[in-house]
Amino acid sequence: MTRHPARTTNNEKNHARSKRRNVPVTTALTVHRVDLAGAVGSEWVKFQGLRSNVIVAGFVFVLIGANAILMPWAYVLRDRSTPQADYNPYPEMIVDKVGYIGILLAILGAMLVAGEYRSGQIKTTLLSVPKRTPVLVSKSLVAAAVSFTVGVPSAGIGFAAAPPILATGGYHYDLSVGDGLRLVLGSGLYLAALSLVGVALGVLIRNVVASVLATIALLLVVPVIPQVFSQFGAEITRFFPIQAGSLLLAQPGNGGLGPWGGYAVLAAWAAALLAAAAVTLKRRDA
Amino acid sequence: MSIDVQSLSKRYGRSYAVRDVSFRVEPGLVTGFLGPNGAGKSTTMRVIVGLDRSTTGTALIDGKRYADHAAPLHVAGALLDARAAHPARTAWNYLTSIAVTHHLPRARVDAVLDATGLTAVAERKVGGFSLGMGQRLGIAAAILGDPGTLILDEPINGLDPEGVTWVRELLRRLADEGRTVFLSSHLLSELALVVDHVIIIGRGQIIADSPLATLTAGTTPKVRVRTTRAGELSPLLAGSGVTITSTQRDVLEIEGVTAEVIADTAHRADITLYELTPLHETLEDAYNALTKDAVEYASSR
Repeated sequence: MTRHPARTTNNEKNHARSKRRNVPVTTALTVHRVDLAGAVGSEWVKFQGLRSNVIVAGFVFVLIGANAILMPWAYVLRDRSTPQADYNPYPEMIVDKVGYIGILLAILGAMLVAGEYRSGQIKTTLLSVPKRTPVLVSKSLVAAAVSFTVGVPSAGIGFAAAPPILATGGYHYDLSVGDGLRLVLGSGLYLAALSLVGVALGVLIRNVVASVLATIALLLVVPVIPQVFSQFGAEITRFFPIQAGSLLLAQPGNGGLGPWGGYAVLAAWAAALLAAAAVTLKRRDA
Repeated sequence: MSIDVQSLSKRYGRSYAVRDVSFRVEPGLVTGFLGPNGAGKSTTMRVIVGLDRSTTGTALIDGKRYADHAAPLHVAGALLDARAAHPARTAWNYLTSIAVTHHLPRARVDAVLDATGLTAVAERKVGGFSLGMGQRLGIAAAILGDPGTLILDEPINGLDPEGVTWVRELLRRLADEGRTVFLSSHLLSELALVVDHVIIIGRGQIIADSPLATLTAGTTPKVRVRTTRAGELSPLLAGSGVTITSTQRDVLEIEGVTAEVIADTAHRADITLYELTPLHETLEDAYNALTKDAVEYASSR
């Protein structure tokens, strides 16, 4: 999408170089306004312009896709000699690891912002789009869209591949269309929300290392602390982003928040952090 | 489009970077913004384009805050930091990401790459750029939106002599087209060749704001005299208001008398002069004279 339109030959380059003083610096441009579409387009150009972003997104796709194939396969291959071990596979296994793999996209989200502060790019960004809320909105949209786009097809691979793989072991894969949609779309929605948590932390903290560590702390470390101390603490743990959000990808019906209730808690985390990020970005010097 | 700074103050913590600064940068001129390091040049420029918020006062471009314009890049182009791109990004990707915000055509990116001599390295990562190439990329970004105002922080820094000439010609051309050109520099001699108007800032306050010609005129020029009979000439010229210094053998630097008077005096005494050079006061001298107090005051605190 962002390829150079016409790759010039060396001759043309030299020609252009020797002529450059004659090239008009200023051409009659019709006035083009800045708007949200432009801001989003710019964030997309910047996302693609760094190979590391594309690699991380691709890596997450491969991890989720591989898990979706390997989990049913493992069911077929495992030792089923005792009747106790010969239970039916649970449908949610195709998105089993999405909950924790999503941390990578949260880190990517934090890097999208903190990386700009490290390189100085943020100044260019804020000169091009000086109203700051659109910068946050467009960064969030790009991070969420990339995460959703990675999450849906990679989970979809499992949805398509699990039944035939399990059939080779004589299993019946019992997943309703409704639940299947919940897992496939939910994988995308979950990853999108988690990436927004990362974007918000990137804005709030700005430093690359600190924002990555904070993302890991919020998602992995802090949640386990309350549950160590008491039963009530365990109740608190359930409301942390990954613990609540991944309910969308788990077997429903053991009481509690439920799939969409859990996701609503994750969405509330993302919304609250983004709101704090919007206020901070607006107030702080770049 | 003019830049109007009114009673601008910017405080970081407890100290003021800029204190109650007011000035106006006029279109059609190249205006130099001079001052020692830490004087508040960069801070003032950052506030003008809205990267930093002023503590009090306003900084307007064409009557509005930079961020309130519908097409900011068309109002002002800024170069505030030569390194403002991720090192792994290509020059083309960097400029395209800016152009896309204002829906500028791709051809415009190619045009500014061409104009800054970066076409051949457009697909290279900017991390591998020299300081001079980085400056060219920054200037390319600044002119991308065809802005009415240019705000350039140390644009000559790091450029090779060819690049310096190129920037000078570019700024002159942009000003002649009626644009407002505002640049800071510590390379005073380079600035003297291109600026029409000078604003000098020291310790966060404006020290001088005048046309270049006014700033450098009005003081007695020194005259350098070379003669083998320096010892005989000195007493003949000595008098009130005349200072004679000698930095090397047979060379005198005389202040307070014109070259004509020196020549006549030497002629009457039958002293041969091998050199008689009026030393025109440079911008640097004027600048040093003006900032001396500010600097001394600062270091005595």
